[in-house]
Order: sequence, then C-alpha cells, then structure tokens
Amino acid sequence: MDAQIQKSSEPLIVNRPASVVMKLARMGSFHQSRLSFMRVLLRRLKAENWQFRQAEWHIDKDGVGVATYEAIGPERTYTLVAFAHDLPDEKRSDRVIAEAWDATFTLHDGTISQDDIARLAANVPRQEAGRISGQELVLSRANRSVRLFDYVVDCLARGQQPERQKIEPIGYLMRTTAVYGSGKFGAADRSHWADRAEFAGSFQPELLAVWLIRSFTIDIVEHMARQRAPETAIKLDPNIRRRIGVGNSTGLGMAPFLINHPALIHAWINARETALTRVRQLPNTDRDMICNLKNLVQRALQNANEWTTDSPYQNHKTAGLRDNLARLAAYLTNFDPATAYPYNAIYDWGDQHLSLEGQEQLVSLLIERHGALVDDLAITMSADETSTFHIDGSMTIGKIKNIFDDSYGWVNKIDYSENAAKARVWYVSEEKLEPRLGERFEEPIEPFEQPLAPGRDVAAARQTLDQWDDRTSIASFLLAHPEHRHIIRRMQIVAALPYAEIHDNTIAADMQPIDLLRCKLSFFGASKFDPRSDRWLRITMYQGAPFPDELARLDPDDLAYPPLHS
Amino acid sequence: MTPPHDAEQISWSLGETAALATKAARGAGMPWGVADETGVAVSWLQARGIPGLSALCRYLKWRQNGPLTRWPDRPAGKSCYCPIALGTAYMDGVLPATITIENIREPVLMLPFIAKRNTDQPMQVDLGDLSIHLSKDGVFSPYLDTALLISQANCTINLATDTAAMTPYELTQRVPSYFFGCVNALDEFAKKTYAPATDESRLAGAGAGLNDND
Repeated sequence: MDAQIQKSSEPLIVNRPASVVMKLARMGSFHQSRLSFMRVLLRRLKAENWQFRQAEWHIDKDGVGVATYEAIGPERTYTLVAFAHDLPDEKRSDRVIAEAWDATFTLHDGTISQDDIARLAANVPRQEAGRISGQELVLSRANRSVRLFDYVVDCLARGQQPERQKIEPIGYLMRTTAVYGSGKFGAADRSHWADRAEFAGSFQPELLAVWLIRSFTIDIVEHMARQRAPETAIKLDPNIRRRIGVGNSTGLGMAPFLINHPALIHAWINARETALTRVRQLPNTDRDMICNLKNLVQRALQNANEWTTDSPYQNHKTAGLRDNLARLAAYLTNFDPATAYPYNAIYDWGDQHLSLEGQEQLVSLLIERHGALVDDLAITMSADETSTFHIDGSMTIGKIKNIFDDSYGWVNKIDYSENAAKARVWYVSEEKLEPRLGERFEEPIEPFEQPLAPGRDVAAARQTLDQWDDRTSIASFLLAHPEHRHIIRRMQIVAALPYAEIHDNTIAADMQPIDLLRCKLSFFGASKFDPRSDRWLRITMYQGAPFPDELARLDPDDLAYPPLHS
Repeated sequence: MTPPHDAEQISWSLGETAALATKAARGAGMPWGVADETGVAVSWLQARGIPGLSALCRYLKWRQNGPLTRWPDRPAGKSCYCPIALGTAYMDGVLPATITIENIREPVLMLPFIAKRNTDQPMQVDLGDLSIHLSKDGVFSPYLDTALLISQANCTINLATDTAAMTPYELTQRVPSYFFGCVNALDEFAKKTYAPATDESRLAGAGAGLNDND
C-alpha cells in the first residue's frame, strides 16, 4: 500500500510529444545547448588532447596570401587552408550570389603538400565555380565585418585593446556564408569519414573548419596591425579575444534541410528531448545545484541583454526572453531545493509562465550542468539515411492509413483548398541554384515546385488511398500512383521516428522561414540570432569559446554562456 | 561548358552524383519519389564501377520529354519498359522474384533494385546475352564498364548458383573525370527543375533588403 502511494506520487515524466515539440514557432525558439555540435566538438578535442599549430603563414601587409592550420588528433591530422584576398568594398556581399570574398577556406584530410596547396589555390577562391577533391572535407568563405575588422586593426596598431562594448554586440571579425561539406563541389562524401570517432554526431568537419577559421581571423588582424605599426602593435588580450567568434550569414539554402533529412532531424530532436527528460526525472537535487542554475540563468540573461537585432520579429522575442529570464531568476531564488523532482517542477513552472523563447532557453539551461547524465546522447545525433530510404512495399494500405491517423492528425486542421494554406512555393532558382520561396498565386513558379510541403502531400495521398482496399499492398498502389512515392516513403519513416516531421504547414502564407533556420543553427551551437528579413539571418559561432592555445586549460562548456560583468 | 584545363584532376563525389541524377530524372518528368530512386540507383552503380550515369544519360536522351513509360500499362512488344519504374515495382514486390521481362530500355539500371530486394539471396540477372551475379558480397560479371551499356534487352532474373569463384567489382567512392560529358548532359535535364529568375524573385525569393555588408 505504501509502495503504491509512493508510486502514485511519482510524476510520469516522458519525452515531450512531437505534437508539442515539432511546431515551427517552438522550433524557431530553440537555443544552443551542451548537445549542440560545436560544443560536442570542443569537448572531444579537449578530452582527446588534440594539438593545433599554424603550419604556414604567407600573408602580405595587405592581408593577401595563404595560411594553413593543422589539427592533430590521436589518429589523424586535418589541415585548414586559408586563402586571404584583397576584396574591394563594393564587392563584399554575404549573399550566396556573391562571387568574391575576403577569405576562402577548405579543410584538407591529413597534412598538406605544396602541390595540393597549388591545386586548391586554383579552385578554393572560386568557391562554387571551382572543384575540390576527395581529400577535402569542407569548402567555405568569409567576409570581413565592416563594423569591426578595421577598428580592431586600428586599435591593435596603436597599442590599444579594442573596447569590449564594441566587440560584444557584433561578436566576430569575419562572417562566413556557406560552409559546404558532405560531397559538395567534389568534397569527400560523408560515408568516407562517417565512421571516424572524431566525427561522430553531425557536422563535425564543418564545425572544426569554422573553429580554425576563427583563429585565422584573429591572426590576420594581429598581422595587419603589426605590419602597419611594428613598433606599437600589440596582440589581443585573451579575455577580449575570447569574445570574438565567427559570424555566419545564412539564407533559405539551409531551410529545406530540416524537411529533406527526416531521420536525421528525429535523431537531433530526440537526443535533446531525451536529455530534458533525464534531467526532469532526477528525484532530488541540492542547494548548490539550484544556485548554480540561478547563476546560469543570470549569464543567459547577460547573453540576452547583449543580443541586438534590427528584426522586429526577433526583438519582440528577445525582449520577452529578458523578461522571462528575470522572472525565472526570481522564481529560483525562492525555490526549495528539497522539492521532489525539482527540475520537473522548474520545467512545469516554465511551461506555465514563460514564452516559447523562454521555455526553450530553460530546456538548454536545465540540461547544462548534467553532462554526466546527457553527454552520451551526442553520438546518437546522426542517422543512416540509406536504411530509412527503403520503402516497405508489403505494408498494407490499411497500415498506411493508421500512420496517417497516428502521426498526421495535424494535417486535418489545415484546409488545403484555401489559397492561404498553399500560398508559398519552394523552388530552386536557375540563376544561383539556391532554394527560394515564392508566391504561388503571383509568380509562374509552380511547375518548379520542390517537394517540401509534406502536410499537403500527405493530405493528397490520403484522398487517393481512400479509393483503395485496405488489404492491398502499398507496392500495388505505388505502381498505379508513382506521384505519391515520396510521401509514402516519408510516412513510413515518420511512423518509426516521431520527431522526423514538422507538424506545421511549410507553404502557408504566414509561415516564417527563419524558424527553420534558427532551429538548425541552434543545433549547430549558434547564438545571437539576428534575422535580417523573414528569410535570412546572421549568427555568431564560438563566441566565448576557448582558442586552440587555451583549450587544454579552459573548460569550453563553462564558457558557453558569457561571464557576468562585475 | 567545356572541360576545364585541369580536367584530369576532376572527380565527382557519389553524393553530388546522386543529387545530379535525381534532378535530371525529375527534369525529365519523373515524379519526385521515383527521381529519388534514380539518384540512389545511379550512385549504387557508380560505387561499384558500373556506368550508371551513362546509362541514365542514354535513357533520358532517348525518352527526351515524353511521358514516363510505366509498367504495366504499356504492353511488352509494343514499347519499352522504363528501367527505373520497372525496377521500383520489382523492388517493392509487385513482381515475382524470378521473372523474365521483355524489352527493357537501358536494363543495367535495373540492377540496384534487384539487389535491394534480394539481400539474402544471390541472384543471376541475364540482360540479353550478358550474365551478372548479385549477392551481398557484390556484383560479379566478366563484363566491364561500357560493355554493360545495352540499349534494350530482355531481362531474366533467377536464383544464382555459386558465385564463390568470381571476384566482385571493386568499390569506389569517386566518379572519374571521363564522365564529364554525361555530367554535362544530365545537367541540362537538371536545369529543367530550376525556375528562371525574375527581378521580383531575385529580390523577394531570397529575402534581400537590409544591407549585408557590415
């Protein structure tokens, strides 16, 4: 009897359902967490005692030339090759349609020969117009921040440190745009390196490249300051230097990824949700841990206070976040650490009192100090997409209809006969081969529509399926209706992997594409999302993180939130 | 497009090859889900050193923009079967595992689908006079490379006898430079999936507006 009473007082704590998590407004409120890929990478590099060195530096006084950086691990070495260019101001554009950049990069597999550098020098500066080889893993480029780059060179040349207040709201000297990997433009296929322990998880080669690019951006401003004024020039103070990350401008090119990789998205979201559940299931805690959490909340508030954007959409959300974090700090001040299932209680309070932006920040904060409990999930954040590609032709139509009822109930709430429900078309432009979003009823683009509206396609398949006998195999149906093949494949994936599908209309008139971008970038570990329109944004990567020369003595996880100003 | 002067250095990843084949198939009129199968099939063939890109290129050029030939609504003898449509139907299990089908266009494109259906059972596939063995250990045939490119043939699928004495095709992760012509030709089909740019879409479609140069 006692045992039963005890049991009934235990809250039932399970992963949040897809119907709650997989809404665009919530996904567009995700924040970086200790499972974000940049943080997973730095933890691993530190644990395995990777060594780093600037192997070559042939950059002239104008900042033109080539430099290489080696990352030396227990089994393999990777080399970032950086080409620095002299780009006239008028040619500097972050858009993917640009054709010239301040710097271009590739990550080479192994140490690099002069022949390979010569080969890459003929291709990497041309980016999409060039070709890299199976010995390269990443292709990227960056532009100088007009706001910060020259200012920092000037300061250092005069022997002064730049002001932190100027650095903080921008957070980078150079801004990358595309960071290509996984077989793009000739690079090695993911399958070539996917079984390497150092790349377990997602996007590890790309983010290793970006972390090394960060060192290059520091080295080049210090070099240019020294060239300008060898007598007076100084290096950046390490505490100021650490507040400099790498910027990134991201547009619609990234948006379809979340829809095109359902099994992978499930793996990402499932890891994060499982981490939250594990923390919520902890039966008790102590005063120190609650104090620690409150301190983290204040550091997150510091980050929110330094998060500036011209976007009314994000400004409204960020203002709400600041208010939310202040209220959360007040709540934790009075929180009794002896509360049963304390983190679940805090989560529930957040669920009732915070905005989506605040709730999702709380998720990241709750798991932050529980590395021993959640860090093992990092290696589950990848997917073998070849195994999920296969259609089970023997599945009956009745079973497919069950999947519809179980996993696609949200589709019933959308009336796709309404123009507003299908106002948008995802298409690829001939000009730059990049995904774009257009207006179905205003532009002649429908014939070029990409299959990025699962809700609509599921609804259409369901209508046709209703004319068929439930006992028939889906193989027979697909023979007669090959136009539904992509969506039947998807339904079979979603049946097994609930977080594989976004429970929202991705072609609705009021859909916010930046929600898709924000979700993906939060998994990368980005911070300070700065939407520049409803379909592209700027972010900061690795702001606050240790540099290669300080990784051995600093804890990258402790630096993920800014230090409190004294 | 002309080959670059350093063409001998160029090779393609399997990933971009699959993406190209998918887009080309879609550009030629296939439904998306079937186009996706095409990309995966071509990549499967190329990974085994079989010229899947060439076969797809030949097939799409032959068909140009006609409607997709779809089994079984075109009776054999009058027309040819599409190797992708037929391959997916076979893989899905609509057809018996052992079967003879007449008049398949570019039948080498069928091989990935036959292999994927029969992962536990070695199979012998006769494409006209060519005999090919498929098993979990690989693809086995005395015929190499372009010898496998047949415009049209009957295809007989049977359980295989012993493959132990044969050596499988070597696996590769790259598509070599001599596929340049095929890549270019498939690019032309792929382009049919791209929307022509207009001034409006240039501005609105990607969301320009605010200055990005800061």
